[in-house]
Amino acid sequence: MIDKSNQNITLRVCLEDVGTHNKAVLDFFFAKLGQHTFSRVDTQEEANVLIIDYDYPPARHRYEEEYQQWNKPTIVLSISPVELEGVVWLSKPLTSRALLDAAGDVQSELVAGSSDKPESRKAPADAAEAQALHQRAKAEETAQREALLQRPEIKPAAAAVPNIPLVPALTESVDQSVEDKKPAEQSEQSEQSEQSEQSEQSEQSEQSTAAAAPPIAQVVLTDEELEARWQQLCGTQQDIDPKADLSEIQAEDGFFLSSLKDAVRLARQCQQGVLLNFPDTRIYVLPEIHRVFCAIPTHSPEFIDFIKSCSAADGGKMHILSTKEIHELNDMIAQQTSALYDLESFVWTSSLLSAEGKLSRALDPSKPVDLRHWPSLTRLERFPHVMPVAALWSADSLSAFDVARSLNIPQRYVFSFYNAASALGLIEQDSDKLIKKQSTSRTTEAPRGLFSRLLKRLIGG
Amino acid sequence: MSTDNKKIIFTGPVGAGKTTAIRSISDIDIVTTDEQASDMAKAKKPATTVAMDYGMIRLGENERVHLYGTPGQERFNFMWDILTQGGIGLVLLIDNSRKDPQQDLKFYTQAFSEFIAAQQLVVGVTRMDTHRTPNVNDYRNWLDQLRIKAPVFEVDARQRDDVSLLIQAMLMSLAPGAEIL
Ligand SMILES: Nc1nc2c(ncn2[C@@H]2O[C@H](COP(=O)(O)OP(=O)(O)O)[C@@H](O)[C@H]2O)c(=O)[nH]1
Ligand SMILES: [Mg+2]
Repeated sequence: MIDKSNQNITLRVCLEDVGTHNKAVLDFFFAKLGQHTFSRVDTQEEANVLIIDYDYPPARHRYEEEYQQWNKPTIVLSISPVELEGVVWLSKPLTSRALLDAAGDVQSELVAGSSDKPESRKAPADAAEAQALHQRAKAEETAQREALLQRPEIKPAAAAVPNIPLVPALTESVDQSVEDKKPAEQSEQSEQSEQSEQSEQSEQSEQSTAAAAPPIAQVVLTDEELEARWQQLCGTQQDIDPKADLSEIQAEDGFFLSSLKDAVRLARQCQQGVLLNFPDTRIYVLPEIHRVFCAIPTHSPEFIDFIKSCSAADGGKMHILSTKEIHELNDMIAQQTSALYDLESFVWTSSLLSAEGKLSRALDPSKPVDLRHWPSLTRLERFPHVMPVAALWSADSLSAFDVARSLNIPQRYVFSFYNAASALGLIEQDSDKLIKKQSTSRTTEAPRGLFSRLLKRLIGG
Repeated sequence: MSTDNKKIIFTGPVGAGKTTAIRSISDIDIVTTDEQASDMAKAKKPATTVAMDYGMIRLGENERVHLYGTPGQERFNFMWDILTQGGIGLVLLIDNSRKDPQQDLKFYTQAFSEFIAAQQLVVGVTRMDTHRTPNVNDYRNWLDQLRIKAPVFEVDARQRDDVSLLIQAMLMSLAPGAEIL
């Protein structure tokens, strides 16, 4: 038997030989449950433990040809059993429990082999460091368990609702939403993200870039589908005269969106995962990896229904994730990586879908405001004119009406941008607070003809 | 036909994706002036850019936009001044997996500060697929501290669309509100 105290060696691992799907799972695992056991390094040379995705042919090949001779303890991820000396096999889909157990096994192995393996010469120092980390982890865990926070109340209606108890009903709701999917969506889904290891495998062997492609859903839509999507995101509201009655173009923030914004705020403040509870689904806001886990695809009609049906009467309570919930979530991520969204992208889409081009009542379309920062448009759902709006608004203090007029575009796109950028905290209402660009005048006038031709080329492909 | 104002410069630390980004949008096979990397850069990855990358976008018959990637090492920075002359804007690529990306951001924005003030900077953060932290919002805050206003996008240098959007943002920032489409 190995002395427990020796098992706290930090495991230095590199994920260059792991495919996208499992990388996303491990990302979250390292950020939370594994944070005191594992530390990430950039190359396998620096690693003291190898993690190899055996179903990914190049990785397996590298292991067999090269790494195996290094004699480092190895964790092999694979669908089918792998029996090799010095190898701990982990069956897919990965579970947090199995990962922690494997870590324990490898730590024992490192301790046992410290006499003859060169890399474990560092072990005593690592062990001391890990011991300290371990103690801190314990303390944090206890603190976390006690920190079951109640959602800050924003509406009187919410106060009357008792906190929904934490029951692990979430696996059911996840399964439900997967089963409910129509065949068409299913195939779309598996295109966006590898649902089965099979497709992951073939995709990866096809193209090495696929292995590192972001796990964020990237849906390719036809022109008609795109039009339909823009309607979902930005509505169909006609322009109004700025002097007319604004009630037509304004709406209350939906309950879902305001709950989500609160959850994001809380998660950011305490840098802990926050669970937002609704009867239909649970939303996990994970600031450590800058992601949101939501089992209902944001592209689906179900998501729109969900957003619209959310009300204070049946949910919207939130709390910091308990250790048990982190375990559960880890396993859900392993089952459904496609449910992981970039945090800002999720907030952006949610904001657009809930507003449908109507301006949040908290925002005044006649008041000049500034865009402090551009949204990261490469990872957000784009709609018509989003880029010119961002460019103009970040250059000048303007009202939403002015932006629409200057660019000669429908107001609903500007209102949509205003809503979504506000939800991301990118709008500055007080222009005194703005950081002005220390600008020297441009050496030359912008050659607009050239820009226009270059833009056409870039957009046209 | 003059080639003034038709140059986009790509800079950033070794391995950030400059060569890859230029390759993603160039109409020609990119030209790299090959040189042996120093041992320090070699340790990071096998083939690194020590000299300059060159690519090009053709517009119509005889109009071209030249794409230059700066040498990734500090000892070459005497070239940067020459390189930026007549440039439209600067694409700064930061590798999110490096030890101190904030320091990288600071270093490159300082090295190009005159050019940035006169023209337009866009920041593309690469390797966010493998390294989720720091996040885009951290970069926005760091730029605020440096008192620089520039779009920051998460990009993958291997994705043409990502690189293209970065450059679109640069062009639109240079001529905001213009009916250039
Ligand atoms: N995973 C990942 N790899 C990237 C990304 N961007 C670039 N790379 C890779 O990083 C490596 C270095 O890129 P390179 O263009 O040579 O960097 P340079 O030194 O700046 O010219 C190449 O293998 C690219 O494919 C990214 O966003 N994610
Ligand atoms: Mg290069």
